Amino acid sequence: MTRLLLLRLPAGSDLHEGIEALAREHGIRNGLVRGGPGSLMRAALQAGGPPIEAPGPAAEILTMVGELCDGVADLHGTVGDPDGRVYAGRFVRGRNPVCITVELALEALD
Amino acid sequence: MTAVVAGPARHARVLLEGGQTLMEAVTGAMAGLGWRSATLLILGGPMARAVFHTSVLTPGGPRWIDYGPPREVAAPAWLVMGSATFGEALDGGPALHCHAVLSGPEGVVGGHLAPTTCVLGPEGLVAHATSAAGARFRVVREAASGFDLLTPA
Repeated sequence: MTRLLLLRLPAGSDLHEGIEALAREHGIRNGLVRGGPGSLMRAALQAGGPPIEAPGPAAEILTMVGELCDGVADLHGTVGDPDGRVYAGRFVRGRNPVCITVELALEALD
Repeated sequence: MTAVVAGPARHARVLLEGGQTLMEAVTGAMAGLGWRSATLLILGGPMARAVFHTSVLTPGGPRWIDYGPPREVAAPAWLVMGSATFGEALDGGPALHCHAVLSGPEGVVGGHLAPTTCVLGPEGLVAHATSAAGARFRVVREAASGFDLLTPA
């Protein structure tokens, strides 16, 4: 049986670091990230080429899945901008600040 | 930041019943499982009605940012994939926060779905739900943003 951690990241927190900090606090180094919805002030994703930036004021996280491996988050998904345009790829570390909230679940695999 | 450790993870594959609003379909599926809260991954399928919002700045308003006017995807609309949090509203009733990628004749778009306006196609949608006993998402009114937000409790 694996245990589940329910998370909410508040405005201003960093997407990757926020997940990693809460996981550390609860002694989780490895797990599955099951993203619920959320919003970012702007989003940066990468899919083979240079990072693509989705503008704010709120770039909505439409889907997100990922993993925590040795305490480091790796997140993939899709984002929608204020015009409804969709961007897809791997969330770029340090470039996805939370706008209002991000809701997710982390399933521990330790 | 908020985190609540729940009990052992539990998973379920559910059918969100066709012809219902997104809110009715998710609430019904969760009631069938006896779950009060879950994180959901919604798989793709047809929508009878797909309405979504994106964000707009609202200077001078009660909150600095808000949902813009509803936008409807013309038929035939398709939900490509979605994510959702189901939990408990301030009044104790169900609350649903859902974002999704949608597709229609004008291309692929995405945003915040209007849960009581979106209607599933007749065959419904499959969703994978994750939850655990001992913790749930519950709406809390956040003074800083002015939003009612689903928060682990």
